Amino acid sequence: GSGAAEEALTIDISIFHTENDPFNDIFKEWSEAIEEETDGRVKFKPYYSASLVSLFETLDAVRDGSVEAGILSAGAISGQISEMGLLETIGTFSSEDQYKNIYKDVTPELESLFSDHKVEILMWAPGATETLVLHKEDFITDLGQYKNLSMRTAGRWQGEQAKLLGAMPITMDPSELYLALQNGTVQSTFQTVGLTNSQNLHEVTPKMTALGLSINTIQYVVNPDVWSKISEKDQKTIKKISGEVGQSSYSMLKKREEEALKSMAEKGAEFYHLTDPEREELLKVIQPVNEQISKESAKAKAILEVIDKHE
Amino acid sequence: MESFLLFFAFIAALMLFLTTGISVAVAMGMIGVLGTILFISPNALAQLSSITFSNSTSFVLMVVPMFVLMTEVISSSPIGAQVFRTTQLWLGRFPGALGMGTVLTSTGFAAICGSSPVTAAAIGKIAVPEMIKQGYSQRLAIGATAAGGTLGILIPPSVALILYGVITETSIGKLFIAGFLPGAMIAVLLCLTFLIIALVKPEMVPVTKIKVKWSERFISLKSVLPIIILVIFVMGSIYTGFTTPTESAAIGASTALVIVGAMGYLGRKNILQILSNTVKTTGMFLFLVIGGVFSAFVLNRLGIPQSMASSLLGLDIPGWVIILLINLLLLVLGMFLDPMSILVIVIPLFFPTVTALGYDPVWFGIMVTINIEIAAISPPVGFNLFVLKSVVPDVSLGEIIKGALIFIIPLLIGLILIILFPEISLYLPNRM
Amino acid sequence: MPQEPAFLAKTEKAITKINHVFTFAAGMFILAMVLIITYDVIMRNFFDSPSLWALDLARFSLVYIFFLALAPALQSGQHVSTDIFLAKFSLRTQWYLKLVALMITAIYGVILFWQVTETTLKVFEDNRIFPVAIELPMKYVYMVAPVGALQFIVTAMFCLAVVFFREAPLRQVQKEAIPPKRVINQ
Ligand code: NA
Ligand code: NA
Repeated sequence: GSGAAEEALTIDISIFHTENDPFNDIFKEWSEAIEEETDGRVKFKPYYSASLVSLFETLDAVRDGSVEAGILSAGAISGQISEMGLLETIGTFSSEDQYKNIYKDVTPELESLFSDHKVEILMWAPGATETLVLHKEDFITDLGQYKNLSMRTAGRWQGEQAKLLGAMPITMDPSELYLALQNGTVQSTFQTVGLTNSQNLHEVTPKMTALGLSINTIQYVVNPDVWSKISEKDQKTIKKISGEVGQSSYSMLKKREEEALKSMAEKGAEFYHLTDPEREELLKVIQPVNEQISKESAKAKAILEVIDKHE
Repeated sequence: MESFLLFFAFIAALMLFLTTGISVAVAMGMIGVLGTILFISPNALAQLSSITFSNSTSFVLMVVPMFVLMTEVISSSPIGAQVFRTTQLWLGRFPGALGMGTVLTSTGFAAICGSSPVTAAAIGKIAVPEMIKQGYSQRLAIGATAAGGTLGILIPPSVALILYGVITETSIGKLFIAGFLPGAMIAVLLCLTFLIIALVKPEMVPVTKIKVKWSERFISLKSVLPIIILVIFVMGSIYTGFTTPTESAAIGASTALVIVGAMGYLGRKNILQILSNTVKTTGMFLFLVIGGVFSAFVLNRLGIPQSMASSLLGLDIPGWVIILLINLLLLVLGMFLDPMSILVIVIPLFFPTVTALGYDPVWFGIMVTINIEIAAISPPVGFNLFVLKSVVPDVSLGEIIKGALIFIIPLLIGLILIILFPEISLYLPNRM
Repeated sequence: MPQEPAFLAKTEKAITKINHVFTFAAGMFILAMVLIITYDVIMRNFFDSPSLWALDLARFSLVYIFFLALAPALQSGQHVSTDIFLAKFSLRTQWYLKLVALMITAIYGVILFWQVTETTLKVFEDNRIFPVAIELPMKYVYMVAPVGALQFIVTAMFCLAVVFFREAPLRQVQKEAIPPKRVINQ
């Protein structure tokens, strides 16, 4: 019972989101539970707003140990870990039950996938439970409206999905999105509720179509050497907590998203929620992109099978 | 207390390196290297590579070569000189006219460019040689351009305001609108500085006493046409939605190439020289950013700015004293860290306290932005200073720093006015 | 004073030549960057056909521009330094400090070379692609990094030799014999 395992271990974790972000509810719940249940032996010290390393550098930084732990997004790493494309696209899940089932079955696959890439994955969570399509004047309810619609998209697979819809995907830095929507450089974009709210995009594109679909996911990872400094007992505790928080992250996020939607509505945003048939029709068009991703490896195929099983 | 000691160690190490006359980029990079090996782990040196690649693939820095190219193209032609001659014909007998013209040109360029050192480099390349030619003191010419460049991040579009908006979830639209009046006010303060110097030390700011015919004045306006076309293309492309601000840099460069080419100034030799200058300035710029970000990474990883901030916030003192202390800390950090690092590291620490004390987030954003404007021109680490040293190589850095110190005064006055009269920043956004 | 060895002049020619080529290549990348984006803006606004590759392609040319520019900027003294402190020392001390500065510069170059080469080997190994719309393998972009960093080291060492052999503090008479061309402006 003596030695390193008994000493308090403080792990620096690089976090791309801000402290006020809805995602932070998840981090707080997770890190507080870990500190409490390991009796203070393991603590995570947050560095918000990518002040330590940028989101795109986080995976490498955690792997080589320049940062001990980090939060990633599937969209930021699908170039390195192609399988993650499946958790980046729009519409991987559309309800809490579906998310929880996928979480349970996909997590072991992700654990072996990430250990192949020499990092330890502890937990993952939705990037958003709700995807908004933003526009100045119109709700985008009919698939025909996507035809030639200029849309800012993030990452490789979102662009593909926009193309499948007949839209014109355009790349730009997130920091330019506000001005671009305001000036009409792009007419529309897919966006998470959290980012729409924090960037105040409702000021420039008050018509928001809520798709009722997820977009992107985030992953908590830790450097394997740091992980091995934790006693087996505490490792088990952390994994247990991660499983619980990971599962409940959907409802935590959902709650914050609902608050954000309400606050944007008070500031003049208007919402249209797709009906079930409308959503089905949309999914039919954008989901084939997953087939494309799953062709990249056997593991991708296995993950897609798990996801499809819970449709 | 330990954090203060480490901060002083950082400063001492930086000074020691700079004493050898080593390039600033290498000095800051080596501090990153030593700090990483001593305090983190040799493995973490990989961070140098990450920072290098992420900055050299960054959207924000993409505008550097393009705006530098635009400036090099313009300054390879007589357009710049003609515009300054026109300014002189019109305002020549007004004390400090050319200096004010430079400040106003910076203000105009700030409206298309979101970066402070890029604005300084662009205006400096053209304006400084002209001002010196007209008999202005080197110090003054350079100081004004360095300070004028800082308007780039106060007048929208602004990288700093966008970053502040995202970190603190403050409306970027409101921040942009809030930047206008303070930006104009600082431009006026910089102009007043010239006026005062012209009255007190007229030998530093020569006034031409030639008689000019009105017809000559009007004919001279023709020479401003190319610049007006350039401005219309670049600003127009952003505000009509044709381009994002980043893309507008490309429009600026191609328009400049077409205009100067059409005027017949783009010989093969000339264009090789233009490209060579652009390449070297870009290389210098990025190397500097990488060194700066790497040393900031180490400071941040050791939690130094964070614990300095929290020991400040732990004091039991009234709100206005906290605001005052925050400003002092920002000014001190601003001497050594690059502006963007300050924003990302320090703002999240102060913001909750400041808003809890009842201060307006938009106002705080403008206040912080003016602080990091000062950071950009305060020695020993000031990006605008380094960039100017590079585009006007014949002037020593010591001379540049002395010039910048003169113009820190109007910026400080601006800062104090913003703090005392929040309405200057809040009047416009509150009417949105 | 140290006698200048014959190889220095020859090396000077070769290094200057390589840096010229690098500068020219980087210049072409800058032009390409401007043209690609201008083309994309025109196609998007007048022909309704935006591209998903233009902005990212332009962005990745910045890596080439930076690494190709690194050594030429060093040779031409573009990397900014401060002379505030230096001017306070005797000429001999200044000379020593200059040598130290260039040695540290070379060491920093070695560390940069070592780190970017490791990253580059990694992206060659796992063949990863950028997380953007175009399917561009990172290796084609990153491979310029070791090349540029290596040339930076070589240039730094060469500058060191030049300062050592040509800029040693001399008696007044000999000083006039130095060619007026300033190779180094560290
Ligand atoms: Na600006
Ligand atoms: Na400074």
